[in-house]
Amino acid sequence: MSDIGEAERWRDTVRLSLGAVVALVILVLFFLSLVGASGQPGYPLGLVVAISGLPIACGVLVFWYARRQERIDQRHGLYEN
Amino acid sequence: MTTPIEEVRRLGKAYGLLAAAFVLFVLVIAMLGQFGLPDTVTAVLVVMVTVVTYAIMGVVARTLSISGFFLSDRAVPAGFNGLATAAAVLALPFAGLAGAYFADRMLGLAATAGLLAGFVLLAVVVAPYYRKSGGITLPDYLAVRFGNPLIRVVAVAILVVVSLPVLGAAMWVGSDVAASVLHLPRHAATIAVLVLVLITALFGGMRATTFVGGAQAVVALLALLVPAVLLSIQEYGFPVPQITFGYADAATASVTEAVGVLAGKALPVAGLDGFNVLAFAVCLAFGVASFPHLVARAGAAPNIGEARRSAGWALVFVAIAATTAPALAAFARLAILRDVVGVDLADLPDWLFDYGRAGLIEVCGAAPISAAAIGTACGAGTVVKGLIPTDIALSADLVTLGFADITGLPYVLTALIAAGAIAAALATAAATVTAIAASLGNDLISRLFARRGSAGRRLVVVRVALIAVTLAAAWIVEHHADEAFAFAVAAPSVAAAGFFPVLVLGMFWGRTTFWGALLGMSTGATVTAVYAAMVVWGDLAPVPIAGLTEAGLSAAAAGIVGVPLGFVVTILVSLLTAAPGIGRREVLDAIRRPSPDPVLEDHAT
Repeated sequence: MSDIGEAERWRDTVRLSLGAVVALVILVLFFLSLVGASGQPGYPLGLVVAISGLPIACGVLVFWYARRQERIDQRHGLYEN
Repeated sequence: MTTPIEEVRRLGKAYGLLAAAFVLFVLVIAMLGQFGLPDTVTAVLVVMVTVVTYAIMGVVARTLSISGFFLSDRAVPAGFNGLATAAAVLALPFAGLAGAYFADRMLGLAATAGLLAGFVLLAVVVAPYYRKSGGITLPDYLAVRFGNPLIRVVAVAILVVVSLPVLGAAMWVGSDVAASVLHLPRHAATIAVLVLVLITALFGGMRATTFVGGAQAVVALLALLVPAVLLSIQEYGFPVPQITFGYADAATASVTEAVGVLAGKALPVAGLDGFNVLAFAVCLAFGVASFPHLVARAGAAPNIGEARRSAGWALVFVAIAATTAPALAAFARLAILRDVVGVDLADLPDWLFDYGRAGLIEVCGAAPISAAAIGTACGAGTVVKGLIPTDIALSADLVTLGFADITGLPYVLTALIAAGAIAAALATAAATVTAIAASLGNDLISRLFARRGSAGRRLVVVRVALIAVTLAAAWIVEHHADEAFAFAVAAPSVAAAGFFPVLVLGMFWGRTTFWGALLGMSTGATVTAVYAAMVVWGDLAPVPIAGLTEAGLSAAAAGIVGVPLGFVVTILVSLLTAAPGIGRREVLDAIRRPSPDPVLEDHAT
């Protein structure tokens, strides 16, 4: 593996990591924004969606990120296995 | 001859069977309860069968190898490693999160978001690089990265400041629950917890905390889920409390007066304004990604990809607890409004008086030890009309620990919740004591003062350190529990300020120098820890931040200043000092490269 290939692989890795962190921030803000104030009448759909949706979204994000990272590594010939 | 991976998988199956057997055992005890089995016997049976199982597993998982003791032979599959990682942090969502949701739904949601975001950050910016480095503790990793033993010493100091209060707080929770549910004297409960922590960590180190921690996580998650699911079925005919709690929430929405909350031990539920809640969530996220006992678990994964997925699985298991907590809070609030508010004093439930005598509930500012005492404290109007919501205040911790009693579920579930709380506390305690002892024994003594020591001697040193740390934590539990708790809530902030900037910059900014890292860590951790200590021990009023918080920056959220400070100092000092040489650059490239070759050397040999 050449140094150029390794540099490209690291650049892609940084982009992916940054993208994952930005996506995390957006997800957290989005789900928090769904929650209304306490004491609103009726079923608190926003709260329920936020409480269940945030963990699902975060879990999907981590496993998506792990898969994408391995594809980057494979594309640059640096897959650990 | 089985490989380590085959051995772990075999044990995983065995331990799945153990979990199934435990569920069956609880069902049998529940049936015996219907035939008059005394509550005390029920509690002893449910709790003792779990702790004896942990002790047996801890001894069975003993090891004489360095790799086994420090890294569980680097052979723990992602799902299993994630379960053990979740166990190491479950004490927080178990004991504190439902109370946080009960006090303020935004606080609960912010804490949930902080926890989950922390595991995402762990997977993305910390775990893979830690795994690749070949380090066996967080200070060891930093020493590999920056190539100077001084950073090892400073990192160990920060690690102890972060982890020791967490260890003390976890042991206190375990001993407090054991003392109350088993009717043990307080000292006896502390000794019992001390012995259990030693048995589960001393002989097998991370190998034992992997196996035992997994079992403890299963018990803790069952203890949260089973009561919530049963109540959800009983009240709404649908076994998903994460959905049905909305109906409980809607049923209480018209009650504008809130039931009061007494400050709990696990989460700072009182006195946080909007800024502090948000800052606490951010600090929790950075702290989870930097906690030494959580980062160290990445080293047990078989490879870098599995290290990433371990953090993902940990997130999944923590999410089970985090999504159940709001259901516990909503169901408990509904039960209190239905069974306590407006009820004739003579018909108040027994649990109100039981927990009142234990100091976990106040009515009109006094302990409700009897109906007459309530009448005296609240006045004649209450005797006629019953209590109103604002008359009542309960400990935030009670929302989980007293859930079965409050909602009228069978006593066996109170015992199950107690067993879960003890499991979560023991798992957190064992993980933190292993991290502290590994750092003291390996990073300070073996690496700095006895570099030529054999593997056997290194293990002896670490085990002696582990005994000493556990005894020190037990002393804290007995003499300074309140201080430990008060500081433990600031531990994520201190961990974040001390480690997060250098973990991020050290990997993603090649210009980071040893001096930059050293001073950034020292400054961030010191400023945060000193501020938190002065606030929690009353030497300093929380400092207001103009335009953001008039109430002042909470100790739990102090990292919101400490983390940026750590970043700034690391960057400035790095720019002012000579750029890293080619040797350091090669080490950094090797850590970044996802190849099987170790960086310099694998310290687990």
